Amino acid sequence: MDIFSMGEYGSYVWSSYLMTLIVVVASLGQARRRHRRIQDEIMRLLKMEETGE
Amino acid sequence: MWKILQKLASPPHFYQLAAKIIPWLAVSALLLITYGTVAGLFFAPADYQQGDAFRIIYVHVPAAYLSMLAYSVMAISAGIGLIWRMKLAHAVAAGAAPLGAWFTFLALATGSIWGRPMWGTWWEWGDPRLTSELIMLFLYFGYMALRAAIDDTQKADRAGAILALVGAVNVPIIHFSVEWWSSLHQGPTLVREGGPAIVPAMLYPLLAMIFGFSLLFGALLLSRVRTEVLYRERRSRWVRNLLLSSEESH
Repeated sequence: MDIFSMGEYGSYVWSSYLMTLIVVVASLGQARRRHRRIQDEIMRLLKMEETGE
Repeated sequence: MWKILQKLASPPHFYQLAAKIIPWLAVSALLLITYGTVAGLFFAPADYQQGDAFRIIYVHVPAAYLSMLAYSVMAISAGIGLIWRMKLAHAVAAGAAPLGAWFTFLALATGSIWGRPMWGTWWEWGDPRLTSELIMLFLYFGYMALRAAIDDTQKADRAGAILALVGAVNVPIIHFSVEWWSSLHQGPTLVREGGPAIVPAMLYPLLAMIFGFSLLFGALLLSRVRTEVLYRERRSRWVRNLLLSSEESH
């Protein structure tokens, strides 16, 4: 396939787009994981309070 | 006006509203980025000087633009937080930093990959645009490390804000570096006297990518600020009610 070879620059073009995909997925995943972690942390605190009362 | 702003900035209201806005931003971002990627990779004509290597700009330019936009958002929010003691503003600054770091890293990485075939080098230490962009990456890291090192949220907000504001001087330096000094980096193509120096078939995918990535940034930022708000309000009644009721519904 000619359009995928990008002239002589295929490796440069595709690695740039791959890098972009990785950064987008990583930043989405990081935001999601952090939200879950904070939620779990607060939940644990709330449970501790409940049992302490 | 002030009342509307205050209501918007109230943590529980912001938390709910952001959750409603995020999917819309994400879907619009996905559509624009899909169009921009396909059109940029396969339909835009190859550049007469750079050949197909120029297609890297469709990811490099949005990344570089967002790296600076994120810093501006961070510094302005930090300033607002510092002056008006607005907690939500500090949460925005804290949320923008890691995103800015990601986009700065991406701008440097894609620029480096483009530089190898076009300039014949991955990196040029003497170049003002490259160096100032790298400094911005370290400013983001510094801001995040400083925040992480201070346990008290209010103190972390203030210390971080001062660092963010001092570092803000770097943003215009990045922007004007290609005009102030001789640089390997090419000058502006889009915003220049006489209009964009680029044909429409190359321009539209680029605009779609810039706009799409900005919307993605907006979605990510709102999502991160939600997390910040949740953490900061962890002892409040609304967070307690929200989490306990979501627990029951599971």
